[in-house]
Amino acid sequence: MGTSLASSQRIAALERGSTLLGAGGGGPTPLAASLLRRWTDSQSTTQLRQARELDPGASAIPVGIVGATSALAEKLPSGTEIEAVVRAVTANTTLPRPTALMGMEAGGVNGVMVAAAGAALDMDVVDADLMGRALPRLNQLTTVAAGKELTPVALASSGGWTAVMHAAPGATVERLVRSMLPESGGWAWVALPPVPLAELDATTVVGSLGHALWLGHRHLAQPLAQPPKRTARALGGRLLADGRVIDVTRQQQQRTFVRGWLHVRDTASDALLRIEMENEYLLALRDGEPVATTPDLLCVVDRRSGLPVACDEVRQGQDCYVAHLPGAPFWRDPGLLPAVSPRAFGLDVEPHLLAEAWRTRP
Amino acid sequence: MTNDAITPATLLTQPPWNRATVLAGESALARGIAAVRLETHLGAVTAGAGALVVVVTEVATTDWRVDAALRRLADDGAVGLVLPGTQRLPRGTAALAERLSVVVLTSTEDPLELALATRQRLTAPETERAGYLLRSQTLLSRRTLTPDEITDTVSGLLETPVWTLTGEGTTLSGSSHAAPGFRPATLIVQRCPTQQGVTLLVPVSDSQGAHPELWIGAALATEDPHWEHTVREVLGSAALALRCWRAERRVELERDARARATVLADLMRLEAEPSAELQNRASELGWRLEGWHLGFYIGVPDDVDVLGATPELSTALRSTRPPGATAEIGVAMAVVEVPGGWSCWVTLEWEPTPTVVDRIVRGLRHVQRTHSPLVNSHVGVGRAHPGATGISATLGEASDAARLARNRKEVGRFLHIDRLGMAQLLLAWTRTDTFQPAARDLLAPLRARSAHLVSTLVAYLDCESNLTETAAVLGVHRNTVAARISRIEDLLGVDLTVPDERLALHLAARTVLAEE
Repeated sequence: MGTSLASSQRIAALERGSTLLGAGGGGPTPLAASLLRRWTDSQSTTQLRQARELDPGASAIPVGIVGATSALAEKLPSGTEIEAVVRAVTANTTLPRPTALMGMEAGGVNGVMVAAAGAALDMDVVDADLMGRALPRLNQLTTVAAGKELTPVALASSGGWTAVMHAAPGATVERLVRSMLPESGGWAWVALPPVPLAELDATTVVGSLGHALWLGHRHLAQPLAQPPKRTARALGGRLLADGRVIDVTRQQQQRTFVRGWLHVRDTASDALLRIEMENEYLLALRDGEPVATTPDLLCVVDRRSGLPVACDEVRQGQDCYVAHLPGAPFWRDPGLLPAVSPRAFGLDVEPHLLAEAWRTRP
Repeated sequence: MTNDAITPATLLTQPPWNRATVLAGESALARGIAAVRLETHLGAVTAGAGALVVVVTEVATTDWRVDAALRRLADDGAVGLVLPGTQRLPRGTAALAERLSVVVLTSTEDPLELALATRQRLTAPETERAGYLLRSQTLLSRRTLTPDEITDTVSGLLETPVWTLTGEGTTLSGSSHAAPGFRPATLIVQRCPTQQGVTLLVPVSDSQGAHPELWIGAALATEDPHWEHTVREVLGSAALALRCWRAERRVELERDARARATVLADLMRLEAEPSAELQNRASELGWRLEGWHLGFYIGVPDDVDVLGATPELSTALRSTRPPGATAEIGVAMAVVEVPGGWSCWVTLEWEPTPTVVDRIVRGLRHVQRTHSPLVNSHVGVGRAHPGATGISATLGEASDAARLARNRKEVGRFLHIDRLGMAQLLLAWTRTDTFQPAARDLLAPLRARSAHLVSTLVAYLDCESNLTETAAVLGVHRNTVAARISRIEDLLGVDLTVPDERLALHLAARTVLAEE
């Protein structure tokens, strides 16, 4: 009954949708998409499944890649690391072995990678993830925000070793993982504690992979020459600016990540849209007034190619449009919002979100 | 924005601002700064319209809060933002500043110094102005000063020429300077640009606030709006002092006028020798009761301020020198306000010779022609009479003559009793407003019947009721005259043999004919 991920259109849609959900971050998807194509053959039975299609007593295990996703091209995953992390986590929990995988991060490379992992392990993928977009830190997961334990966490390097962490607080796990990454060659597969399907609604973003597919289909279907305003509306969002990038600055600060900002001068109104970014686009100010913030999605799209532009790719003089797309419904809960609001990224501004979060499609 | 406002551009010309750099928003350099505000950090930046906001703590100019602050400032109508340090703005932020017309400055000077210097410059004109006003107030309010003293005081304070003018624009004190386009009748502060600078004139209004009674003016050598404002304020306080002087003088005038009027009223009632008490009161006013008095009456229309014009008139009368005369009138002169004008007389030791009288009369005519409050006046001159009772006699004649003069434009509304035959005077009396309508009424039946009847009546009475002579004068037959006379007697119901009726009809007919 699920959706097969084998067709090339679906793979293209998933890739584009994951990139849009990445909001400028989450890493480049082309390599993940080619891995997915390679690991998916005609016998592949991996399907994207809704939780209600599976045994309610079962659980799904979130998997993904952490670290510098650009390093993936230097050292390709073999596929065997996935089996290693899943086994390492399940060996350390009392739950039965999970019957399916689920997304850790729907935005960017991990939105595609979970499907590739499913193909490698020949397991189904549950339509849910722990971010609903791309987020930079492991302790910003929905399960952590909902009060669940982050451990046991397992890390598997392409070099063949596996590490498991127990009973560490979220921030510690985040720091430990970051410290192990150089040793691991820049990236590592990670698996998190399995989520019982009964708890899926309360602790994960349900429907996020399906939403990525829908977003990708819609965006690929829009003609390139169409006014960006219509494209943004077709994706359920609104247009913030359509013009040229007049300056981009990136600064390495004391924090782990590179901070940066850019200005887009809107051609029609001459208004100046400033976008603050870290790994993702976080805050947009039109003529100095905040108009859009995380956890909604800020997408910069190149006018010529129609491709979403990542934070580390955007450059001065680029012709682009900026769309404000709705974020995941999960983060609209006032109790959970602070984990991903602008203040969580050190931006002292109230969240400016669209009236509605995205709609979960069956 | 006024041209005297302090702008970021003017600020940047002087220390400590001259070491500041303009980062963005050049278009706002000419905007007027209304206030300066200190803010501790970017997040708190708020401002009022026209504010220049100085941020105290070091901020990164690349921070998105600069963009947000610019927007808040623009929404509040602020002029600019000053950031400490020497950083540069991201291109987009600079473009935003330009778009929002908010100037962004940066300086390594102490932000507190910058803010204080700006505040001082913003408030300096007011402080200076307050100082001048305070000093002028102190100097001008010690007691009531005369226009001369006020002119000297203000001129000394402002170190600029100051003068006062009458409501008509003639100089009262100081020496007046050019004021092109000055309109003395318009009750507003007037600013007349001159070749050298600017002349300011501030009016002192009359008690009703309708007309300027006095003006105080000052000549400024340069066009400096701040200094002009200060001068205007100081002249305003001087105008108040002038008004005080004016009011006090008015009270004195009223008091003197009442004293004069009372003594004059007693003199007019006088039939015998004056009492010692009356003589004393008269001599207190400088009036001599013995000697010969030559009276005249000057009547003016209702809108002339008789009381206010008395001092000027007295001076004019005393000092005037008629054209061709070798001396001024130069005699003791009394001027008393009476309803509708002034009763005046000169007192002479001896009975005046015709030459003396002529000199006085010519002087008087000269004053009437040249003195502005007397533009529409009528003047009557009596004959010289001796003694205390002579005053009322000559003034009575003068008053009668003036009444006649009022309607006689052909003599310049000036009549001298001496020049009138008493008969002419008598006849002239019949040409009064009360007699003329009565005469017309009396003769109306004749005029309604025939045009000839009135002329026939006049001719008949002129010819001593002689029918033959009348017929000859009129060129008609004697019987025609007889018939007309009997018709006249019928129509009027009179008997022309009765002397009283004959006289009345004679006067009436003469009046009506003269009128026609």
